[in-house]
This record gives sequence, structure tokens and C-alpha cells, in this order.
Amino acid sequence: MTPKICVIDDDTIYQFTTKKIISNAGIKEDVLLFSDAENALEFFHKESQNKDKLPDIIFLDINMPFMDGWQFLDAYGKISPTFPKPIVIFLVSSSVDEADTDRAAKIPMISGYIFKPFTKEKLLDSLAHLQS
Amino acid sequence: MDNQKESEKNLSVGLPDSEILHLLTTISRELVCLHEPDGTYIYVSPNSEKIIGYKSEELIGKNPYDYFHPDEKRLIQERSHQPLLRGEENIHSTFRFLHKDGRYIWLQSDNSLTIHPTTGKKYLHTSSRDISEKINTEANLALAERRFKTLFHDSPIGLVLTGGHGYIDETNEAFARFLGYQNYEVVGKHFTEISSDDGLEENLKYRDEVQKGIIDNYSIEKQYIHKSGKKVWAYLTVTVLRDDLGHPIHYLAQIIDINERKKNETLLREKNDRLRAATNSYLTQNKQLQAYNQIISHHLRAPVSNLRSLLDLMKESDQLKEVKEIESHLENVTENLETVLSELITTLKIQNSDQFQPEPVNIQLSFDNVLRLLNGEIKSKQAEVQSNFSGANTVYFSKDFLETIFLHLLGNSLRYADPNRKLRISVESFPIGTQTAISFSDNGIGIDLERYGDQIFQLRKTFHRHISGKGLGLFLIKYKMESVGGRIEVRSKPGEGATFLMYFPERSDAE
Repeated sequence: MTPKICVIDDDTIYQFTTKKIISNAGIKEDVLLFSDAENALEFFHKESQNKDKLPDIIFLDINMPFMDGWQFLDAYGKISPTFPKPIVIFLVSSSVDEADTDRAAKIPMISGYIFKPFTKEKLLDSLAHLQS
Repeated sequence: MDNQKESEKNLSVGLPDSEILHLLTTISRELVCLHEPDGTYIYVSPNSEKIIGYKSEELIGKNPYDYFHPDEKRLIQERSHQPLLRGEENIHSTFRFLHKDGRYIWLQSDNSLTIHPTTGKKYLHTSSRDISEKINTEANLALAERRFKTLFHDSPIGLVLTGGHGYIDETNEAFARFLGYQNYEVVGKHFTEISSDDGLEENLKYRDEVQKGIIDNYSIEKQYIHKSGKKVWAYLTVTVLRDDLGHPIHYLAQIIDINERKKNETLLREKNDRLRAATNSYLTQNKQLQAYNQIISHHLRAPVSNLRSLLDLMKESDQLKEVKEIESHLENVTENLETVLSELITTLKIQNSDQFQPEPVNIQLSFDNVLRLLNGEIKSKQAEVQSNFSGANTVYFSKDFLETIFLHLLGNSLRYADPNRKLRISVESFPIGTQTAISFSDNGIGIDLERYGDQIFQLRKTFHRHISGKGLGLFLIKYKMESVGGRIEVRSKPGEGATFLMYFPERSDAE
């Protein structure tokens, strides 16, 4: 089964490289891409009961304009309990600030924290969470 | 009937003299006596037992000299007895007399010499009353006064007695020494002559309240003028003594020398201020470091990790088309990195306290400089810029930083113009209290503050990656404004444009 991957990040170059890393890893499934966390949230609202449309894993950037990763998680956490399937979430950031990692550790929804740059190894490690 | 007649007779005829005398001498508190010229008692009024403890018959034939206090026998002899015999009148004597119970009581006598009309014999007539209570009170008062005087003059605390008018009636050694004077130099001065003008108003205010009877005492710290002319600190407590009507008769001032303490306090305060300034500056530096930490992690680490990812992809890629695509991204990232670096360097320069030298900056000149820089963009957007700095010409700030703020705000306005209407930008300055304010308004798309109000001044990833302007970001502007004692606020509604209000401090010691 090919995992469905969702990437939420406003950095276009990161989007480009991440998509490439995913396809180079042999995942043929289209990546759900969002530059804006609010658009992503709208999508999850709209497709909250649509098992086929919902991703299996989300790579969420913390630092975005308007709605940042934390705010997205707040809103997302209110609707995710009704989803027809579990979704794994990884935070992705260039920040090595302990305040961010500590905060992430306190949120049960989050499976892990990935420091940029995003690599094939980091992708495969996080996808391993889907098997368990 | 008979009884009625009897009483009528008494009323009309009256009591015999002897009976009236008896009444007087039994009821009265006056001891009435008749003496031989040598003093021997011939008659003692029947009330004697109540006054001196002896019955009259116990005293008849005795001489009062046996009952006088030994210390006063001679005094009575010379001052009362002999003058009386010489025919002097109005002899009033006050003396101690041995009461039957063994204690001496104070008697005051009015004495006279009577000469029998027929025999020509001389008698002495005395009428005495017990005034012990009064004497004791007076003696206590005198003693209290003596004690007070001793305490007053020997007290290590400076003491001053002033009258209601404020002139010094009496002072002690300690106070005179405290001011470098001799006692006699201080007495007669008005207290304002030796008081410093600092805080004198407060002193007079309290004094006035005392005069009006609002308060009975007050304590203040005040400065006196030493004979040498220098000011000395004292802790003053003033207590008022009032007469029966409540008018102040005397003010007793206690003055404690606190000059050393005050000097130390001042030193301590200065040290404390320096410490606080240092702490503030460390806090500021710490905040700055945190800000840089954020900038570095978000604005340097992000493009660097992009570079790394792009290079890794390039190494893996075997298609020319893909490599070309990656190259164009590399171009963008490198450019972005250059921008961020140059911004950081500018910021560091401005943040450097040696570089940030606040001075009076002409607002118009700075604004015009920025207009020239952005002239091309303003023209191409056909924006209309109005400015009016007649309300306040200058701010006390850094010229470079003011221009950086204008550059950033103008850049923002141009970027967030509403495509459906002509962009209008209006900038004005005006005084607000001791501060100068500059308002910067546009009619662009505005900001939804309901949703993003708390974020607008935060560091975001929209750190001018796609802007040509060299802005520092609103968060750095806000942070810098606050670190020099100013502030920046925003007012906006979506679709209605935005107004930034900046308050510049009059003078700033922060830095």
C-alpha cells in the first residue's frame, strides 16, 4: 500500500525538493501540497469523512505566515477525532530551538520532529511509523 | 401655733452672732485662730480637727512654733510674725505645719494685728487654709520642669523649642553642634533661616495643619543649613503643646542627624540604578540574542537546508531538464541568502549600541531620502504619497533606523496595495505629551487583526524573501522602538487599509 503524504509548508523550494525526494523514494502517489495552513485546514474540514482523500501522514512546517504549525494543530485537533482513519503527524522545522522541540514533545498528536533539511532517510524513518 | 411663733421670732430677730460664728467656724474650711503676740493660741475654731487634726482644746495655750516645719521657723519669724507686730498689713504666709497624723501640710494664712479697743492689748489674728494639694502639684510641675530642662539640655538628640511664630526660644547643645553653631547663635533665629529651601514647603504645610489643629505632631526628613553653608539631612519630629483652648503655645522639635544615612542611601540608590541599568541592558541584550537566534534559525538555516537538499538532488539527477530546474532554484535560494545576510548585517549595525546614537532627526529629510529610494516602485504603482511633518519636525532617534522603518512601511504599503483602487499613502507627525508620534496610513488591502493581530509584529517567514526592499521586519522595528522607550501600534481592518502609529520618546537613556 502506498502511503498518501501531505506536506504543509510555505517555502516553495522546500516543496520542490521534498516532492522530488518522495518521488525518488519510489512513492508514486501524488503529494497533497499546501503553502498555507488555512487552506490545508479547509481541506481537512471538507474531506473529514472521505477516507480516500485523507492522507496517512502529514509533514507540517512550524513557521508559516498567518497560521503557523501550532495554530494549525490546535484547529486540526478539534476535528481529527472524527476522521475515519489515523493520521501520523511530523513537525518539520529549520529551528533547533529547544522551546519548539519541548513544545512538540508535549503534544500527543505529534509522532516526531524533523530538522530540515528533509532527506530520503528521514522520509523512510517517518514512514516506518505507519507500519506500527 | 407656739412653734410657728418661735420660728417667726427667729426669722425676724435672726441668729445671735455667736451662733453664726459657730456655724461659720464649723462649716468653713478656714481655720480661724487668735494668738498672743508671741503666737500662743487663745482661740482655735472648732473645725480645726478637720484641717490640722487637733481639737481646739489641744492647741489652746500651745505655741504654733512647735508645729512649724523646722526649716521655716526662722522664715516665719522674720517674714510674717515680726512685720505683723510692727503693724504691717497684708501679711500672707505659706508654710508647713505638723498635722496630728505626723505629716506636714501646707497652710496659707492671712494674718492681721488687732488691738483691743479698751485694754489696748495686741492680739494676732490668723485665718489659714490647707493648700497642700495645690503646692504639691506646683512642686511636681517645678520638678518636672527641672527634669525637662536637664533632659532638654543634656539630650544627645537635637531639641528645639519654638513659639507659634516659628522663632526659636530655646535649643540644646546637640542641635547647635549639629549645625556648627553655639546655642546662643541659634536662639532667636526663625526656623526657616536654618532650613534648606528643599522640602520647606512640606514642612510649612504640616506646621499649618498643626496650627489649624488638624494634627498634633508630624515627622519629616528635611535638610538644614549648616553654619558652613552645606546642607545636612535630619529626621525631624515636631510635637505641639496647646493651651486649654487648643492654640499651639510651643512646638518641641526633635532633630536626629541622618546625614550619613542619607549619603549612603544616595550612594546605594545610584549603585542600584546602575545595577538596574546594567540588568536592563543585559535583558535587552538577551532579548536581542533570542531575536537573532530566531532570525538565524529561520532565515539562515532554512535557505541553507534548501541549498543542501537542492545539491543532493542535483547529485542524484541524470536528467538535464531537472538539473536546469534545480539550478534556477539554487539561484533563488542564493539570492535570498544574500538578502537575509545583508539585512542581518544592517540590523546588527543598528543594534550595536555604538551605532545607535539617538539624536534629533529631521523627519522630513529622512522621509524624502526613503521616497527617493523607492521612487521607481511608487511611480510604477502610480501611488500617491502625502506627508505632513509640520506638527513635529524632529524625533530623538537614530537617523538610519528611522529611514529603515520608513523603508519597511512604504515597502509594505506598496506590496499590499488594493488592486481595485489607487494606492494612497499618508504620513504625519504630531506631538503627544512629551513624545512625538508619527502615523503612517495606507488604503491597501489591510490586515485582519482579529485573526492575526498578535502575529503581525512577530518574526515570520515572510521576511522579505520576495521583496526588493531591505526591511527589517515589523518585529525588529517593534523591538527596537521598545528598547529605546518608544512603541509601535497598528490599526487596520481588511479592505480598509492600515495605520501604523509610532511613538518616539522625548529623550532616551535606554541603550
